[in-house]
Amino acid sequence: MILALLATISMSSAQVQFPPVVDRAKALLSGLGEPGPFRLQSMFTTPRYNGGKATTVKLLSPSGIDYTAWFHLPETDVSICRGSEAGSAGMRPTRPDSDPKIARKIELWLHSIHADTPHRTMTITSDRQGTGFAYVALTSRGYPYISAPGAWYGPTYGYEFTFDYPSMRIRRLDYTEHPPPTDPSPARLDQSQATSALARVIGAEYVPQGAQRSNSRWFSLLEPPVLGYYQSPGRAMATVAWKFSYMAYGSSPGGVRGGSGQMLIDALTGEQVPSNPHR
Amino acid sequence: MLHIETMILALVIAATLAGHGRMDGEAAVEKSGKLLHEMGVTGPITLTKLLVPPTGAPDKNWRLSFDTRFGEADVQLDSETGKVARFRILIPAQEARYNKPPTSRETAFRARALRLLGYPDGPNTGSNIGFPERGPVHVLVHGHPFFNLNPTYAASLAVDPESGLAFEFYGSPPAPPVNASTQLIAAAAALERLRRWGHADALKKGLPKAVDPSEGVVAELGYWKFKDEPTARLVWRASKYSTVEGHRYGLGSLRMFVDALNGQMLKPDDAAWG
Repeated sequence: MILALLATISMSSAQVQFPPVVDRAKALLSGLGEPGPFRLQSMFTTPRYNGGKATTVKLLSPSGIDYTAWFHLPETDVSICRGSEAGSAGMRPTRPDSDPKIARKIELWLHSIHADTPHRTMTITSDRQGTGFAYVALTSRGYPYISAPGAWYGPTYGYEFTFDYPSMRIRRLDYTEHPPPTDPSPARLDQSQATSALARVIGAEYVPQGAQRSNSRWFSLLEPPVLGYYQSPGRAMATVAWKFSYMAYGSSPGGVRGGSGQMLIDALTGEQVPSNPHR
Repeated sequence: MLHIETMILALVIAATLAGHGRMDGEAAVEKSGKLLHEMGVTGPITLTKLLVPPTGAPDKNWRLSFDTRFGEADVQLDSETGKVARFRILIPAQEARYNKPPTSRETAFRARALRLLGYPDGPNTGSNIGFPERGPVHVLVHGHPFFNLNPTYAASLAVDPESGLAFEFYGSPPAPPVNASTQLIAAAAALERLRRWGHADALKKGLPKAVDPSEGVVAELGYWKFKDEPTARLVWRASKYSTVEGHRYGLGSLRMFVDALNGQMLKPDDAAWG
């Protein structure tokens, strides 16, 4: 009886081919430990501002939880989230968390979704409202791709996990795979030289008013700089660059101003990497 | 083993959804694929779009699109009943075939498709509603059709006469409740009222010979659903077109009904009715 029923299901399923993104979304949820099986509820493709397109896939679990996945082409970046608890990509906890349980779970998730490319966990944070976040960068020759999430430096080649903490249930995953090849040329600037280069760039923009008055620094680094790979627009390969997150203030011909920012310094030439206006 | 358990769970889900009377998206995809195959689509069918029933829309239809070797196919399924609301396969434009009688081969194709779509009695072209080559299939209540056009309580189906591919279908909306199953006014009495009304109307328009009572005007029994009434009325109508001496065209059909229960003359509340 059961065999007959199963045969019926197989026959009816064979009538229609689902686009690969549907199976991919189901496999992602299973790999992230969400209880399935998942049923497709909607799927549609819309054009994107950059000439690409995005396919949205909505799935439903047996317990009535809905999931949404977005597959963006041609960058091949993917987002998948649970229900309305997805959280915005811009609202992430900032308090570092060293709980080894998180690191283990992240590795388990990566393995389960077949993310076998070399990678490095760059950030693990949590807040006191039950939200955790982890960013895992893809690496090449031991260095991470340093394209910044949401910044003007191209897509993030890596994985961003947002999850319930401490229960470690996934809320949202954003990732971009298939990074560009890398130029084997080693960095010519060490961290100190790159920081000097950063100071020159900022100094050309900011007059150190604060330094004149109180002898304090007029810019400071928010976190240690990272040496990694960045692909400039129009280049086939990614090259080494230093990534800085900094805070600066001072006066300029336009008046007193300041704020935080990110900047890439080319580790071969010491020049500022121009941001990508198309991203 | 896990695979079998997963499939059994899928069965349970499908049964649960069926029990609640609501078709889920994946079931809509499977049913649409089966439908397209039954309608004559061969080769692979790939899902390209699946949209949930839109909030606020008068219908509760799943909207699906597929790539087929014939072209893009759009399907709408009622999410409550699972019935096929409409489908369309964008085949290359065909030569207009208006007023050409269907071939026996085409008729056989259409009858088969209609049977699969839940219209086992096949085309009912006894009325002038709809496009003849698409074989309007009237919803019959107590054996009588509805005369309304907006909406039309009838399905239409277009079939490629060569390949048999059923490429366009519009299902009928659910029929409203009706006020009676049998008439109290005889056909002859109703016809006489319609003739008198038609003659008076022609006189009023200065066309005394517009309606010729000597020719075989046939009274039809059916239902008309007035927009401001909860049930459809059983009415008589005369659908034969009138003629006017010295003119190429007549006045159209008699735009008046006779209530089949009380003999009252009724004017249809639908400008498109003709």
